[in-house]
Amino acid sequence: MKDGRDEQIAKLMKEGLDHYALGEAPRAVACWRRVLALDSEHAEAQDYLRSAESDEDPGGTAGTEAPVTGDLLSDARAMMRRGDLREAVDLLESLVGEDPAALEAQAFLDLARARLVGRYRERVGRGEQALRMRVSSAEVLKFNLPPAAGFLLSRIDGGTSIDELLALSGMDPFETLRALAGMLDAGIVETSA
Amino acid sequence: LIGAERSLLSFVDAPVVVGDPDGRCVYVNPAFENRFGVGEAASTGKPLGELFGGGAREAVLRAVAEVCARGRSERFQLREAGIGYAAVASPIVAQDTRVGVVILLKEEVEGSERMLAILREIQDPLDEVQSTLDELLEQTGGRRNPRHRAELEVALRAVTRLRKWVDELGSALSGAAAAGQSTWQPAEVLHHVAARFEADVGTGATRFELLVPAALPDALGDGTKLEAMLLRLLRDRFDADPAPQTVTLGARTTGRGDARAVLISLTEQHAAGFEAAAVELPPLVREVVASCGGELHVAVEAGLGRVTLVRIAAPVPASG
Repeated sequence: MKDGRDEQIAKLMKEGLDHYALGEAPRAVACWRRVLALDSEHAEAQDYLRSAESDEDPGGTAGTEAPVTGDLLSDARAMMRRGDLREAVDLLESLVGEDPAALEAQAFLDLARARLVGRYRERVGRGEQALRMRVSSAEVLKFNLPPAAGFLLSRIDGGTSIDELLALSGMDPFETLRALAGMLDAGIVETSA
Repeated sequence: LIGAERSLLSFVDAPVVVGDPDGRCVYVNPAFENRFGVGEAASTGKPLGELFGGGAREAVLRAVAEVCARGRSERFQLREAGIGYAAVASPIVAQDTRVGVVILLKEEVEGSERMLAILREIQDPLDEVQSTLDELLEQTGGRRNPRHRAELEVALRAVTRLRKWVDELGSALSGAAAAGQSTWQPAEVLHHVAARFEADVGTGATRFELLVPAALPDALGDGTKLEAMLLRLLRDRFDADPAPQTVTLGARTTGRGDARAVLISLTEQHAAGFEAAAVELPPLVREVVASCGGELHVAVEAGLGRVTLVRIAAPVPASG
């Protein structure tokens, strides 16, 4: 879990810098705020955020003590409106991970999940299709898959249909479809002919 | 039955059956379905007596006949699946002047006590089986005989599972329920709600998506009330004009330890251009959620949809 979080933090730090270099300070700020939602003590993100916010607000009226959660929730809602549902889900998951009692964020997370699951279903395809491996077991190790994906992979045999995987795994159907879509995107599995 | 009466009876904890003047069932509430395993769809139109077996059937028929003939309440007792119920059959005016009947069943304490007595009877032989298996393992299941040892270990694990469920049943019958700490399995209830909704109402042109895992942590409170409430909310969503394109019933776990909770959500997505308004939930819905120690929240995102979120406490049980 921690590896996954570190990976996400590294990705967000880099994305933030890319946006900042392109002069897109607000998007850079959003990335670094998401880092702080994952790790509130992240010194580098705090530092970048201070610099970027002072660029945006030379008078210093915004300050760094702004309610980060509220801002991030607004960012997530903006992402949803733009159709960036995966990013919105990632950000909202970070927020509710920090504060599970934040019902507003939890509700928007469910809204984003409900919309995103339709996309995952489209990506995964018809439920009666089966999936099969595209890479060898040794190659799978390179992908550093989360446990849910690893578990599903152990059930993929070229004969078990997607509907059966959803039923047999017993997992949250959203997580199952998310993992399957991710493995299809990564070329780890493919639909059987 | 009019909608308001139906809704009200849906929230009653005790099993309720309503019959028409011809003695046919017109309604059973969710509590009846939970106890007797017969839902509204399967029972509507059936003679009331057919909902019960053996001696209970006779008792019900006799009471219904008395109520319809004399127009006054009749008290009687019945036993179903080993549980005793004190029943009251009361007249209701239906179809102008003809009299129908409403039967309220209250579980008798003796039912629980009898089950507790049976549980106590089970404990002794269970202890004996465990001690015999332990002894056999000690005497014959050493390294020289791995197959024998493996078989004994399987039997011992089965005894451990049996003991766990005996304990669980014991606490459900006595301490936990009495202390107001009754629990329910949200995944089971939500799958049941979805199946019942699809069977009774159908989803028409609206897509219905169920995002519920096979199991969730046990939640505190009364699942029956929430089940009835969710069914009502689902029906309201599908009856809305315009109906949503997609309705999603979802559930997941959040938080840890004492703060762990189950979140149940009902999400509506409309066609492009339709702006969902923040909906005012009926006070009864809020009361039901509050009575389960839960919280309710509604969120709307213009052009994307509306979410009704219910948070129910599901703390990690103390170990030991």
